[in-house]
Amino acid sequence: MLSEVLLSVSHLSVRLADHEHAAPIIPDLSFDLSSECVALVGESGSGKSLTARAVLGLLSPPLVARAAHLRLGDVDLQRCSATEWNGLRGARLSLMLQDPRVSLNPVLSIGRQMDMALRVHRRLSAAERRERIAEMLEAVGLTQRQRLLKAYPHQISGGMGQRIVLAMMLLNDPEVLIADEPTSALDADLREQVMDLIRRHVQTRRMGLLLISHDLQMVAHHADRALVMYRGRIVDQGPAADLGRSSHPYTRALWACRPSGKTHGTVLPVLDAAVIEREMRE
Amino acid sequence: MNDGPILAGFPGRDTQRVRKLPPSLIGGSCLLLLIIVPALLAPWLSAHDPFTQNLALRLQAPSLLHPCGTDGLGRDVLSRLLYGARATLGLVTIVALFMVPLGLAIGILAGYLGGWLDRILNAVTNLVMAFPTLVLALAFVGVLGPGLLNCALALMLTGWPTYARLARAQTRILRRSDYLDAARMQGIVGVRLLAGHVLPACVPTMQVRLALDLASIILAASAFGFLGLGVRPPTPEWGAMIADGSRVLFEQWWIAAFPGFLIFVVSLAFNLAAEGLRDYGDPRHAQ
Amino acid sequence: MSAVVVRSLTVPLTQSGRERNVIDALELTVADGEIYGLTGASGSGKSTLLRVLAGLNTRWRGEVSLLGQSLRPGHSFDRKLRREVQMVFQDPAASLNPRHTVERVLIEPLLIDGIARTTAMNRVYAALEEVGLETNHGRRYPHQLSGGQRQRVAIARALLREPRLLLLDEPTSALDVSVQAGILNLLNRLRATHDMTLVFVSHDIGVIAHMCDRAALLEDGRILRETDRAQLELQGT
Repeated sequence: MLSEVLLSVSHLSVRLADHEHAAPIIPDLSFDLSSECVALVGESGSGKSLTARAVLGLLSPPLVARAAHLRLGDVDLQRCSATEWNGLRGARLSLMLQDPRVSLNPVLSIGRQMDMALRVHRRLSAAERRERIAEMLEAVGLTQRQRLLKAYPHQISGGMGQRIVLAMMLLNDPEVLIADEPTSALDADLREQVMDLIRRHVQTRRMGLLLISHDLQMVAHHADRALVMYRGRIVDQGPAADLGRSSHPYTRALWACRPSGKTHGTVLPVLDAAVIEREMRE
Repeated sequence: MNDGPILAGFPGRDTQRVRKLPPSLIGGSCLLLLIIVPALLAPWLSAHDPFTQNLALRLQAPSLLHPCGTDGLGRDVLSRLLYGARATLGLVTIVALFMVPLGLAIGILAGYLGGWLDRILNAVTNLVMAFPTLVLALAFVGVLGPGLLNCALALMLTGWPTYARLARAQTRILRRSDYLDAARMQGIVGVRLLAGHVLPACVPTMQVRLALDLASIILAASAFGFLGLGVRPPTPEWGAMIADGSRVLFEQWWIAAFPGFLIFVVSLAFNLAAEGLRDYGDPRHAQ
Repeated sequence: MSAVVVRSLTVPLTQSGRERNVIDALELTVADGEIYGLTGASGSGKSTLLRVLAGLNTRWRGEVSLLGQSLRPGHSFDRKLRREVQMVFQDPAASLNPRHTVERVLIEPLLIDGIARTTAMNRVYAALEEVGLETNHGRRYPHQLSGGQRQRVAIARALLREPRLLLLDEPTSALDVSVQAGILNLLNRLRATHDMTLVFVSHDIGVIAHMCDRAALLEDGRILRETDRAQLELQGT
């Protein structure tokens, strides 16, 4: 049984501000997120990252977003001022990006950054902050706390970096976490570990996770529901585990074109845009 | 978060046709032409001879006869401005023409080849940079003697280190770039590699730096003039005119103000043109 | 004959004052005409190994022989070997000079070789067609092409040298899975029509399992395990 809707997106459109007559990049997108993992899957250019940015109010001009409604719980995101957004991002709505080197400030030590993340949104004493940080680092499986807190982002590996980013994003107990390709920059063996970690925390805290990924297989394994995007539209949706069995031509083509030992010697199916679009119209 | 491909089809982004000249390049160039052309046509445009003194008419405010007034020796300021442009712009051109390539060559070689050559060139660069530019230039002029060409030489020899540093830094970054490695794998080596693949990447920073430097070069030249080491009087030169006019700045403002204003305009023009040139030269920035 | 023979290869690296061996006494043999895969975690040494084979890294000890020719450490390749060993890099955006058109990128080495411009242009067009691009793509700049198109240009560039050994460093890692499929199909097709040996580095087991005849797993600068075709069949699903 699903709890209340944490994030509600209704008829979202994203277009270029000075090209009102041109086709919008994202014409009409709607979805709801409760305390579950919903994945936006698609290739580059499908609009999945733009959607995340639009929801976070981070679209850079000339891109502009409009929606029938865009709600985080009871807050109308479209009516938020810059100050209100600052209060929401990092506290109720967190974003985790692909590369920890981009997410973390290169000139501040890890400890300093995590401390700042807490100070901006909460009133806690220094001791309380230290305790919370220690708690979070342990929760993401990082030992050697003292060494880590003093280290700078360039001194830690990718896997550790993503765990730290995750810890930072969860510090203020957000309701919704948006993860944009959180494991794409990691080695294959680390991906499972980090993804498992994210899922576990999201489940225990009853958060909503909006996962953005191009990796169908990973989504099928980790997400609850999947929304397949193509050219700014959701073309297919359903339980993530059923992605491999979907009847939608685009999803099927995307699933089938992945190489493996079994496809050796064969010609991999390639997405032919014309064929796909024709099949989608039928 | 990549929104590249999805925006590729939108109007204004496809730059396959002849690239439009950026407005900054057009604006800057026009401004420069507005000053260069009259300077070249000075003999025909100036109503008065810049050297003729007329002590009866000295320190006169701008009027119909003398649109920019007269200076302390009764000479027409406008004419001196027109002729003076040649000296000033000539100096700046000569300096820029030699200083930048010299710095580039040294910087690229040092950055690409590394090793002992890099260490030696670095030491030389640091040595020259350690001295205050003006002091070193004055020392050069002191040894070489006064005059426009010697000023140019002095400024050149003290100005190249900045460009060498920039070029070296840029080259070192590029040294490990994939496209240089790819070029090497294709058999492109040596001068061809440096000139065709490394140099073009260094040029944009040079242009911007040069534009910023030009104003200081003009002022350095005027410092020379002030000390009597630059262009010999009575040859008109903007910097020297400012020096002359600074003594009577509050009573006869026009003597220093007009050349000062022109230096400002030229600097602005150079800045605009350089920015436009950089945008035009880099296909990624073209709109 | 073996295309690549490596014995006791050691590649040192000085990093923040400490010296360690990125590659440590590595042994490797790649047969003529096969597609050999190299995989492993980042830092395992696979890219370094490739760069040694490409002649981009000459600071090594041991014995390396490419296409029957023994290499000398510290020395770059001679002209013939330089042509016969080519590489396709990982990031298609970074491996193409952003200031040069595709045509310029492709034609430059041909002109250096002394080939007449018209002949060279014809070869360039033929290469573009062979990799699935059109003539008008030649007039574009890299940033005007998609990732897949850029990688096709990189492959065309390598092909124009008529290589006998083609090294590929994660050629599809930066691409969408559907675009990757197209590039992998292209590589298979080219391998069938050209006389080439391929050494293919990828962290993606599925890609290695699809493309390669044999593969090696690298860890800490050594080959941990070599897999043959039968074992690769079971990988990557």
